[in-house]
Amino acid sequence: MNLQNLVHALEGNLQAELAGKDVQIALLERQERAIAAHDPGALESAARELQSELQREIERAEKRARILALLSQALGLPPHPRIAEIVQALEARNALGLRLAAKRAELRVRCAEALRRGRRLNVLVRAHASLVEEAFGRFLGPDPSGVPLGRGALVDAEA
Amino acid sequence: MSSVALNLGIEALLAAQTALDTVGHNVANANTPGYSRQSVLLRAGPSMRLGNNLVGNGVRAMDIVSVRDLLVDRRILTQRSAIARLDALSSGLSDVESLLGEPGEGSLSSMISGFFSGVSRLSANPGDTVLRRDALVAGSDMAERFRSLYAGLETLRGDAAARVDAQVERVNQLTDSIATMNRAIGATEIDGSTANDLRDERDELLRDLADVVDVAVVEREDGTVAVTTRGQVLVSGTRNFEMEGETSIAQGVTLRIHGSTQELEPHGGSLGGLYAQVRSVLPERLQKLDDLARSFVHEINKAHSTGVPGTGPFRSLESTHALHDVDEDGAYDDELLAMAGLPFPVQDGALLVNMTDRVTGAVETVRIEIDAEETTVGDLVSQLNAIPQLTAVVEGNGQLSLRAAEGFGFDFAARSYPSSGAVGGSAVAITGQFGGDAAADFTFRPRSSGDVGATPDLLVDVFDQNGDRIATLDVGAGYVPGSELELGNGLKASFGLGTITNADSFELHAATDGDTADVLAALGLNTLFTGTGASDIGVSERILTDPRLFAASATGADGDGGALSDILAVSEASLEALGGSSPIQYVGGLVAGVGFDRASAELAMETEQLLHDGLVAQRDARSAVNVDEELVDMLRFQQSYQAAAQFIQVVNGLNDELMRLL
Repeated sequence: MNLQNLVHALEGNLQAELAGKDVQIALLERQERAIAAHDPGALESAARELQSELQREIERAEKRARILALLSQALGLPPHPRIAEIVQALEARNALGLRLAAKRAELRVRCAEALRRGRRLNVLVRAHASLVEEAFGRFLGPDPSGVPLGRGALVDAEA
Repeated sequence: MSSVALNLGIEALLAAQTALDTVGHNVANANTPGYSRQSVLLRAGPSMRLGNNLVGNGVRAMDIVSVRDLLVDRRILTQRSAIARLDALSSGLSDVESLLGEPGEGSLSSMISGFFSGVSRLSANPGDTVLRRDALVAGSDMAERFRSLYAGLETLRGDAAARVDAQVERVNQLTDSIATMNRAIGATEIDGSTANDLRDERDELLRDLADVVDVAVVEREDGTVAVTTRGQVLVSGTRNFEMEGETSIAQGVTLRIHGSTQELEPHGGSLGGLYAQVRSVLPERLQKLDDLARSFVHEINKAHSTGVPGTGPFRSLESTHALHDVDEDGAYDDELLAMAGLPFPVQDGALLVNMTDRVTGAVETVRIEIDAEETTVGDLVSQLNAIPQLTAVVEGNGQLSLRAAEGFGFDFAARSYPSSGAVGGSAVAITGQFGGDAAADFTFRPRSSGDVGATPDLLVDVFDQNGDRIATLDVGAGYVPGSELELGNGLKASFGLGTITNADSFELHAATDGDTADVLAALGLNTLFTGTGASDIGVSERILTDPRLFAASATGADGDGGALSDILAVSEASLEALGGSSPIQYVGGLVAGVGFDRASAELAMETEQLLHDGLVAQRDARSAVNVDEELVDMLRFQQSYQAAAQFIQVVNGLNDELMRLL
């Protein structure tokens, strides 16, 4: 595969990643709304869809890794280059890297947004989970074994 | 915009925290009596205006409210009061039932039957000393049973009164706590919030109070409740009014609210049940038992007092009941006999006093008329003293003493009198015991004149007080003078030699009762039972010591048990004082009444319990915590969060990696 094809493949991968990020952000929003509405069903449904989306993202990441490996070889760059380095190397040769640079910039924004939402949701989910744990604790009392509930502790059937 | 988004998250987190706190609170209190399930009221937050747009502001927990139905809660209070009252009543009646022990070997009815059986056996052989003693011991056992039952009922009443005191103390503790809760709720709700847990706690106190006494509860706008019982205030705002109990022998217990002069008569709750026990249930039973014993003593004594003991007519006798100087003038004579403080009534009638010459056997009967409204103690004593060979004295302690002169004796048997007399020149002698239903006066009148035992067809007609001829006696030729001729109703007449004319006559008074005025039973002269009621009934020590004094005979004749028949007749007599029942029937009624009341109380309690359970189910459908439901909710949250957390970790990891790659 020549350099031109490799650049187009990377552009396509980043474009797919942009669409994936939109889906991901939408799913994170749905989860946040589900938490706000105390709707475990909606939270679960959004989480399942996110799981499928993550599977696709992992597949894209694997494909991207292969493209980047070939590009680094073609451009004489060290292994595992950053996309910014690829864009810089391409710009040094000709105008092939312009669209790629735009895609990269756009993806950075989407990715940052997904990351922000993800972190925020992570805090919310953990906070809610700890509340539930506390509520369980109030009902069941302290576990004499000291093993936290719901993390693989065996329950004495006779207890 | 990002700050709005962050705010959305914080509000949501706070709302969720409140919701989950409430779930945990509900679950933790699932087994707390009276806890009402709480739920979170979620409201959308007020929108924020950004430029021309209204932006949502997430969700907020507005209030936590107890899910309750005040009407049902109040009706539950009423039901609890009713159940607690019936429970206490039923328990008290059950104790009375156990005490009565009917039917059973040592029961009162079997003891009464035992006494009459003993008297019945004795009537077959009235002179048998062993049978006399057996009958007296049976009477003594019966009296002991009366006394022990009465004492037992008194003890139950005392116990119930003591428990009333304890319940009063409990009421005061609860009303104090309710007033304290009122204060706390008022202070908490001053900002418009709802003190659900404090209200639950107060409701539980109200339920406890309703178990003790019937209450009406009114909630005020400030969140406090006013509690009243039978229209009197127990709690008003932050102040409670103490209940006070006063124990007295007469009434058992009297209740008041501190500062009130009005007596409080609780109707519901355990206090209401105990109060009813002390004030009505047990006093009624005590009264019935006392009525029975009193009637028994009176009726048996009336029969016994006119009997003649095995030792024959009395030489002396002393009354067991003392006369009272009612007007406290230092003299008994001026007291009306019927109002001289005797424990049993004296009525209009007559007392027969039979004086027997122990040497000749001759009997002289004197009739003393008693007018309940006129005859004084002095009149009676004077008339007794007017009887030859008899002395009557009212002792300093109020007891009446009778003493016969040497060689004479007296009794009060229902004899026919005079026992001897004359029709013209023929001496007449009357023998036998009159068996008529009522006293009667007979007149002997010869149809013609002639000599007894010689003149042919010399007939003597006998007329009753109505002028009806009841017999015609042939005392002419063929009649052996001195031989007895039947008059009917157990009486016989004999005529001596002599001449009679159709102008002659002889009056005979036939008595069925030697004391129709009941003065002997009132005074306690020749009485078998001592005492005046269930608490002090007993067999005369004098007779117990010497069973020959058991006055079995109606005439004094050997082998006569006529007085025993009168005593036995009491067993089946319809006694006015017992509402027309016989003693055995009355005991049966007393026992059945207790059993019926207990069964009724238990049945009513079952019904009230059903109503209560229905109301509780109705309340629980709204208010109670369903732990399973709450746990399922929590588990679903937990699983969702766990799954979400795992994926978010991956999302964040991938995004971090992608950012580094970009």
